Amino acid sequence: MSSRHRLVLCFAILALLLAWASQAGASDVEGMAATLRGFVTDASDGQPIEGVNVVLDGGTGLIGGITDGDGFYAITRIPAGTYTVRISFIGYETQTPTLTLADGETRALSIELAPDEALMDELVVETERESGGARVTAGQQTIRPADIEVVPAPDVSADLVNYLTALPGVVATGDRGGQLFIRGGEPTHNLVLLDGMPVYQPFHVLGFYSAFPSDLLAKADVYAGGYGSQFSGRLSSVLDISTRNGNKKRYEGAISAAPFVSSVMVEGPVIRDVMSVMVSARKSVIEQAAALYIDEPLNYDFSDLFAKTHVKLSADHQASVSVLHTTDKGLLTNPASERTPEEIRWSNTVYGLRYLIVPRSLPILGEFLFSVSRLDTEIGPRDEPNRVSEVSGFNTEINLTYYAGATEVGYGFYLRAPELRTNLGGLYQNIDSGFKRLPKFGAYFEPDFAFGEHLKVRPGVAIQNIGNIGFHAEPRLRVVYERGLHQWSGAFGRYHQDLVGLNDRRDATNVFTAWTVPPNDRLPRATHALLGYRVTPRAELELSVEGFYKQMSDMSIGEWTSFPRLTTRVQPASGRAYGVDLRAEWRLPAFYAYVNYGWSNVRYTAQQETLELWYGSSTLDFRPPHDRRHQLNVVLSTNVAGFDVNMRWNYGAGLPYNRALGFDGFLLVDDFIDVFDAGDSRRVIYEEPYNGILPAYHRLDVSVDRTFEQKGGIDFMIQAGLINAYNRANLFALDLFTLERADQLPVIPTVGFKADF
Amino acid sequence: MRAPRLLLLLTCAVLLVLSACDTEVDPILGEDRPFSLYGYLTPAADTQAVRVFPITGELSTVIQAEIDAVVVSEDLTTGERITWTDSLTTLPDGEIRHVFYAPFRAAYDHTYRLTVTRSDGAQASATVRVPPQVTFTIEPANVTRFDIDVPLQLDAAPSFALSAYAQYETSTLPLVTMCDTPDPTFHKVRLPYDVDVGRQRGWRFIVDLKDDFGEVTRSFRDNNIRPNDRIFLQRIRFVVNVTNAEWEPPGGAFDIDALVEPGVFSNVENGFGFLGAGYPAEAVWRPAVDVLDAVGFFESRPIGPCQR
Repeated sequence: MSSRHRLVLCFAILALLLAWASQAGASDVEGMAATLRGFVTDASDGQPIEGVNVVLDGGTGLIGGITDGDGFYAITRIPAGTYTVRISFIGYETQTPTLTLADGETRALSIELAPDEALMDELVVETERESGGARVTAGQQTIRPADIEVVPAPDVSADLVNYLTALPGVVATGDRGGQLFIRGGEPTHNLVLLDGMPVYQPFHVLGFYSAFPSDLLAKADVYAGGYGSQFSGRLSSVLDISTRNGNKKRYEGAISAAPFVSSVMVEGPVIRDVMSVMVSARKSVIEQAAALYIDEPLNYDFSDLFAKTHVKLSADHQASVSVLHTTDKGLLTNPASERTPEEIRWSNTVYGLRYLIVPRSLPILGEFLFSVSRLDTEIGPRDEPNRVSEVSGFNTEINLTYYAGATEVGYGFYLRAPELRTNLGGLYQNIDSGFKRLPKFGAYFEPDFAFGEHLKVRPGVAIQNIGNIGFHAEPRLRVVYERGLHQWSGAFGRYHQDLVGLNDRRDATNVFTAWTVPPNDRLPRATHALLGYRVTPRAELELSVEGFYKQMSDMSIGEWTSFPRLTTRVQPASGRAYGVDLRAEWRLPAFYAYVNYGWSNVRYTAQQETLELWYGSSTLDFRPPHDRRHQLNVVLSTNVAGFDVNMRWNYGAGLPYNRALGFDGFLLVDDFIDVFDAGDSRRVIYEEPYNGILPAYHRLDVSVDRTFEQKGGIDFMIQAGLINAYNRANLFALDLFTLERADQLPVIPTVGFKADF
Repeated sequence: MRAPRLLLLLTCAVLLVLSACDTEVDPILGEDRPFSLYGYLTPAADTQAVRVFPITGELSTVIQAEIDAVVVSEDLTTGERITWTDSLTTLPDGEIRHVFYAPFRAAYDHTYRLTVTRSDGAQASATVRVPPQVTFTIEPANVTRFDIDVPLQLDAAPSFALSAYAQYETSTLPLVTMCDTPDPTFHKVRLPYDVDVGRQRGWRFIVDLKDDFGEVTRSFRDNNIRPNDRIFLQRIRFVVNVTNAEWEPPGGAFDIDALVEPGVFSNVENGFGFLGAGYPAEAVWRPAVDVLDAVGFFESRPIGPCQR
């Protein structure tokens, strides 16, 4: 069967499934069942509340639903009758309106829940179980601002990236560079979405910061693998971030100052209860503040600006517009190095519209997304960069969720057209650089079946057509079985990556990433499989274990060469990663501990043409430089004499690196050359690639903070901390050519101040 | 709160132990092999040369003027030993290199061992046999309506040949020679021939004069060398660069990105690099006048009074 025929067949199947979903929705309307749906928000600020139980009690049994991230719920197939609706969420006053539903009626019921101060202690325990360090289900973990804030950082405001780097299976390049490797994949294999808008490089050049301060976040869903059909285009992971909508009741804000970053945030109603706006701006002040007392070059400068407005157009329509702009520049090499220092700069510009619609007559939630995202990266002198990479393009999506009793069916369509411009200045010589466009469209279908009370099965398929490369289908499956204290979960999926990010891992200081189309029109692809178990033996204790396997093919990595240079060609490679993550979270009213351990084994197989000649084999297995075998994170938080004391200790086994036997010269004697005059080159006599192991990485960060509540609604927070408290000389990069090493940041004392008003 | 305290104590203990861990990293393992050397021995020159690099533990872009090396060659056929002299050669880019040389002509079919010795006794050496001499037989031209070919036959099969080419040595003058016409210009046009084709024919090469004439005139035109002049053929030099068998590159091609890997293209014992042996086997002739006329070349520079 040809590619075109398979495309037609798959789209035909998808169309049938969508037609079935629509018909099923129509039958609900035409039949005897009623539907109740609406939004649940916080009465104090108008924010949607996720996880609210909405239960109908008609005397003959209970029918219920749970709100999603937009606070939306839909309960379908309700027999006509009179019901008491119980709307409850821990920490909020429960509401119990009574209503009568007629045959075929669709009733909108949106509720504002008022916080219940008397239940706040209970909230501390229970809401943490909505997220939390050990709460992992089939690769997915939800992170909330409260989780992030217990991880020490050199800033009075918490940042999502500090929590991410405390996750097992996540390997960071350290405290600079902004590169995250998740379960064996490359940083460019991670899909980062901010309110549905793709952001190509959201992590700042200094590793403690990203474009996502915790103040902005409603939640972040991290899918370390096995993600569903709604997500496509990346091989490794998805970071799906939702920001808050902004306070619709009153104006509030925060201002902070610290040696690394200063920030300001303001939010409030433009039209009370209808329209809100939220603006956040952060700017690094390292060169002005931290550099004054740190005896080390700190050539980093970054900023981020985020603005969002959210409007309730009617009971069934909501819209939000978001804008994000980030800038970064920094010198990652040692300025005293013999090598010419190369400044790297990048900036993201992202803006988008999100429109939510609830049709009056159908049990469907519709989401329309339109966004434009752009990343400009360059390295070298500011006026004349040596290498430039630009990626930009629009993303249009329609996502629909159809509610049919206990089953939810997700389906949707997308159209994207990224454009790429590269000028690689000799890097990756066999890559066709210049301008490229890669239009693509696709659709997905993903029903979520509930079998009884315990078993949920979510099969799915995503079908995509990418430029001239053609079409492909990606099956996905997610299964969750929950019984009592125990939960078993598993996921499987196939994934393709449409844009390729090339980065030469031989030099850790070189974080320049060239985005391009897949070489030779071969899409990188991956298969994920994972299996997990979670148990909550006591209310304050949760344990989980998850094993994963990931197979990657048709990747592109830098070719190896014995010439002492980093400008080479790219070579095809495949890879596989497997491992296991163990997590334990222990919450007590005055004590919090989160301990996780990750063991993983990552191997890449290079397919450079010359390998047969060099090693007698057409392929070579090697440990890539992010293969961190053991990783241990300990996060402790307690309250001592009114002070919040947070501690994080991070241990990572040494990473592989290239070792050399020595250096000589190379002269190609390919003819009767003039031995006196012929040009030659210096040469590195390498061991086999990545046979060396760097020293282990470990670091202790500690912070102490206290909040002073003032009259007039202003709270002051003062924070003091130590980053790398015992001044461990963790290696960041080693220049094999000059034997110069660049270490991660030394011990850094910090003091920060924040005012919330 | 007993368990949290235990956890804290345990963490502190682990930290104390780990904070004492080594942070040093030594990426250079060291290499016992002392030298890399590059060059070839040839009977075609009266001086032999080899470039020598010491294998070091650091990548320096500047080669030191001093080198701890003694280079000695030994003719294993005759037992003659010669100590070579270091020349501190300066490359066009200003960098210096150690090229050792010796004033002798390598003998055909002799085997030589070149040894580079460091003062501590560490040695790198290469043994190479100079291929036996081969000669060409130039056969009469085959003149047909479309081709004019001159077959050249080697009298013995070489172990390997790097390349082959025909070099046309020409001069040019305008069609009409005036008294103020400048002197003729002399040009050598080198046209590559496929060694593999000749090898498959039993080391027989067919020089296609008519095709080559087209290439020569095209070369003149492309290089804007008095394109309207008459082209006089002084002689044809056909060369096959005959070498020892070890000079055949692994993988079949001189791909610098492949061959740069140490040890891949190397016959040096206890070192790296490559020492070859070979010479250009050549046939030199000038075709007969009628053949030249048929091809399009002029026979020789015209002699006669110039026109004023």
